[in-house]
Amino acid sequence: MTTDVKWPAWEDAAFYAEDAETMYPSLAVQRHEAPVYWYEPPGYPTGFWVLSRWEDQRFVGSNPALFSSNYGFAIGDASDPATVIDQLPSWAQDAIRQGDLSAAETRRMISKGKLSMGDPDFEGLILSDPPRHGNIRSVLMKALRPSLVRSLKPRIAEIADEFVAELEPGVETDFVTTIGRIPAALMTELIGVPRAMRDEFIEMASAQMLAITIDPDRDPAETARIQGLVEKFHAYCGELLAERRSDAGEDLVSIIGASEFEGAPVPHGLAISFIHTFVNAGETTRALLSFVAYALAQHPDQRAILAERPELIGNAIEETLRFYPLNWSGCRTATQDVEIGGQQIKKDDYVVMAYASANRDEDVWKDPDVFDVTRSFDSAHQSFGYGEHACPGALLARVDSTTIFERLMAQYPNWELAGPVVRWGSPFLQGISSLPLRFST
Amino acid sequence: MIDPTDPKKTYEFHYVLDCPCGKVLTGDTEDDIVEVAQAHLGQEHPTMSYGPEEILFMARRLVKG
Repeated sequence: MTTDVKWPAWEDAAFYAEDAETMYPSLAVQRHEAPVYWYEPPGYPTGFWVLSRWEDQRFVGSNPALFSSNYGFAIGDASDPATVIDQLPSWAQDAIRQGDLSAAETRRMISKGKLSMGDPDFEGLILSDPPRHGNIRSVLMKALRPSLVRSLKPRIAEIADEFVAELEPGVETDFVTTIGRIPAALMTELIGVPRAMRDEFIEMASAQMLAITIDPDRDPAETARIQGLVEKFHAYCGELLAERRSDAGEDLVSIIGASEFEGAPVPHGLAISFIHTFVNAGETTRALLSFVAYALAQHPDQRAILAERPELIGNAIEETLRFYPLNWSGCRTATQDVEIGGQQIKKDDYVVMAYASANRDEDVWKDPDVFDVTRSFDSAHQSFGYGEHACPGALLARVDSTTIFERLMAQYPNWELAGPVVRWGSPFLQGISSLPLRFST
Repeated sequence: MIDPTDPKKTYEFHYVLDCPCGKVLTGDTEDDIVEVAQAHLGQEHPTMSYGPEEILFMARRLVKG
């Protein structure tokens, strides 16, 4: 059967700005007709494989020896270096301009450069493989340990109540800049950022998120603005780390500052990357909350179920993650020739796991295009990744979002869209920048 | 169609945990999932060891099918 539906332009920001009604049929057609697909984006130096099926992505995610994370984690990392080099720090630009890097090493340089906040010693969890990955992750998980996250629930509820108290029934409110700020506000507390610095810190953290979603079409003035904020952010994180190393408290930065890695204090570049991970958790949870509020505004019947059955709110969070994932894709590099779905993937080929497509895979999900807060989850969605590299902040994001919606719905079980929704998107992450809502009791 | 006001409608929950090896582990209670996960680790990944706290960290309480 032929169809007029276009296949996804995986590298193109314009594709991610389309409505869900356009994007998801496009994903479905490719998943049905070419579930393991060699895609050559216009302007890219080489193509990459796109895996659409849940099962194939699970195979890749659970085999880090076959699929390395060292050589890029996002589609944009495979861009033509000439189109993104101005968004990278000078040491990364120099390494790329020397011209002797392989395609995989170039991706690594682009991905490390954009994550690094300019720091050449930066070492990110997301760009590491076992066994070093496990060692790095174990330090990070000391800070994000389950007992700590669980203990935060009362404080999250307290902050949520403060923010909910500021809502006015019947008055248009932008969810993103009100309730959506709770996770970032909580994270600044956990990091130990002084209250007076909180808004500036969140602004700098937002800029760092933009720096990660490298964009070949970014306006030079916007690039300069982002770079300025990111440099300031890096300097501030460095000061915070030095301060907590000399005068430790109970905050996350102090925990990292006091930890050891391979028998010595955690190196500066690694410690900075941990702070960066904490900050990202605040920003991505804002996106998750916004998608939950958006989905429930679109589906009042589902919101009514939650109002009656608040014990299903955790399930609704999971369903939103499946239905409107923040993280649309993750990438690996093949370490040897390997066959998937009858296709020969060669050593050093770049492999994109299209999480948003796997989350609608009919072989796994019944009625995948239906938003159902009572859906049974005998399988997991791909929105937090899978295997060694599954999101380290997933538990905090779940506790945050469940608690916030429990508190919000206790006061305001009803809301409706009050204006146009503005989404932002890249091949890596999706979010909402404006969500006007009107709440009622 | 689900009727949210139906007082007879109940939902069963369980704990779901994805092992990086691809196996999906489930348990009806916290104790169950800890037991299932530790048995799986013992059989399939004897060099790995996780305590109850870490296992519950990875497990999610979701509607049971």
